[in-house]
Amino acid sequence: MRAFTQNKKAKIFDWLSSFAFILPVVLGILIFTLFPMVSSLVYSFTRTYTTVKGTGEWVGLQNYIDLFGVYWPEIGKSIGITFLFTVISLPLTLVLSFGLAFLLTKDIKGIKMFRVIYYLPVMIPTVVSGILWSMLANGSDMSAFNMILNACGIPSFPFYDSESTAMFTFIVMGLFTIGSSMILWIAQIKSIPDSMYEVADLEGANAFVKLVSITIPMCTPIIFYNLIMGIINSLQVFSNVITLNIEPGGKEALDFIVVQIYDYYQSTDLSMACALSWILFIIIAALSAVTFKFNKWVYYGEDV
Amino acid sequence: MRSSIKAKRAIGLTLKYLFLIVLAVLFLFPVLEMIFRSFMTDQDIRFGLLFPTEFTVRPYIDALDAEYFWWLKNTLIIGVICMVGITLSSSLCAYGFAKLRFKGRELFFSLVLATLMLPSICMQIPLYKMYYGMGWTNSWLPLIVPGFFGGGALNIFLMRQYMRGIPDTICDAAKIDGANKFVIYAAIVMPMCLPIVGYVMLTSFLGCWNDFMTPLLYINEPAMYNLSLGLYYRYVNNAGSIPPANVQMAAATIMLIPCAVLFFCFQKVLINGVTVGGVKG
Repeated sequence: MRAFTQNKKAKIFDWLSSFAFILPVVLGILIFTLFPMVSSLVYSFTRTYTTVKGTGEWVGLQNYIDLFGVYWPEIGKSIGITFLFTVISLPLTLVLSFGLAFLLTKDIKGIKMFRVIYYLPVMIPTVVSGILWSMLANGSDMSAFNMILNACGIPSFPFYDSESTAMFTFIVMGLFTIGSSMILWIAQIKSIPDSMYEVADLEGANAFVKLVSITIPMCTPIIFYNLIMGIINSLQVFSNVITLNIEPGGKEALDFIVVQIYDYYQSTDLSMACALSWILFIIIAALSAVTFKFNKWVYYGEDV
Repeated sequence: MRSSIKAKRAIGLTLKYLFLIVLAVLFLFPVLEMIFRSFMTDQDIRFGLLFPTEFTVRPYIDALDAEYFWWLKNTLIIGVICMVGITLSSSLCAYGFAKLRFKGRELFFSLVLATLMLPSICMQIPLYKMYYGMGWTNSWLPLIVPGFFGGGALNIFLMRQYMRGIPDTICDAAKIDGANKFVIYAAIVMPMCLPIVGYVMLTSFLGCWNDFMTPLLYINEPAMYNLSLGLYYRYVNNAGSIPPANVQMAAATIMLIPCAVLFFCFQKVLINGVTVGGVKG
């Protein structure tokens, strides 16, 4: 009996001492994630304008009704902008970064240098890239891109300074950071065993067949990862827009959801900001869930 | 016959190189243009040139005032503290998830991974109220303290993947020799994880160096700004007159230098770090 209780005590101690290692993250999730998530849901049902403690009066679903009613022209537009960006930029990023990685896994001299160069724009701090791009790609004749265009005899293009071209410009500028997904692809492509390609060679498969039936299927875990993270990140675009120093027309076309939330936050309409951020959360959760549901095509190898 | 195949191959290789070089020029263009402009005279800027007619360091003298150095100092202090906190905290948690067996481990781990999907904007407002209530706004605490609590799901995930590659027999042998869990963590597991520890240290420092959104939300006092926020209020969101382009580019170039140096010195760690263990669930 005594041995038994001692054994039990030892077991509890063992559990506690193991749990102690993950205690920081458990506390972190409780304090910095779960509690704020729940509070922001609560705030979204109230009318809260103050940053100090406590909430305003309880209004039920009124904030959501307003968002989908009175404010819908604005909100609907920024949801549309955010979706437009995601739908165009995400597939482009996936395909181009894969193409780049595919080129850079071949055995040619100087390959490492090219990898470094293509990765370099990823390292540019957000604020610096905002300042830089609004200087290189504004609509004036003095911007770097327009000077090159003019030198080629092409008239100036408005780039960031017009409502009709700002989104196009933003998407293209975003492609300069495909280096970060490229690195993931390279790692995955390199981890494919050579023996697979050797067998394919023996069978007389050409380069295209090898790409479609070996490389791409073996890369599905990265496709899946890039897809999920891509959805999550591109629906939350914020810093890259707010750091641009461009004409109001251009800003109008880049009015993403999180930019709207920030505007509410700045005008201290905190409950509205919370309601809109919960709408964003539901959109992200729904899209992620759909992606997870249809992940039968992902090949995880044998050891999962 | 043979030589024609060889010629074809040579042409193919040349085309490939040509393509890679054109692309490299394209990718280098923004950074090069930024550096060129930072050395231009005001006159060159007004004429809107791509390449300076004469090099001047005047923009650097204008950009690097006392305030700039103050923000630089702030950024360095915050970056180093964040780096220590994030690395320490995420390695402890990763060790728990990778090497210790206890009830509820998998449940907590999936909870950690799930947080990756929560949009950070949802938490900002209640966090603002919380920090405000504790008197943390206008201080660096909101930038620093969360890092000590777990250090981010992705870091924990990457470290755990790496630690799982360490054979359990090594830890078991140490346990039989009487080492407790913490000793095994500090003396055996961590020394074997240096590549991923280096990766996490590097990315957390850079992440903090570049961080813009957190200081934007929680810091209003110019003396507490980090470099990102300082440059933002000086060159982007400035109600007064914004300094000319060459000064802006000089300030930006200086901010980019530490990132570029770290990147060139540790590119192997950076590029390999992402890939350890793959991104498999």
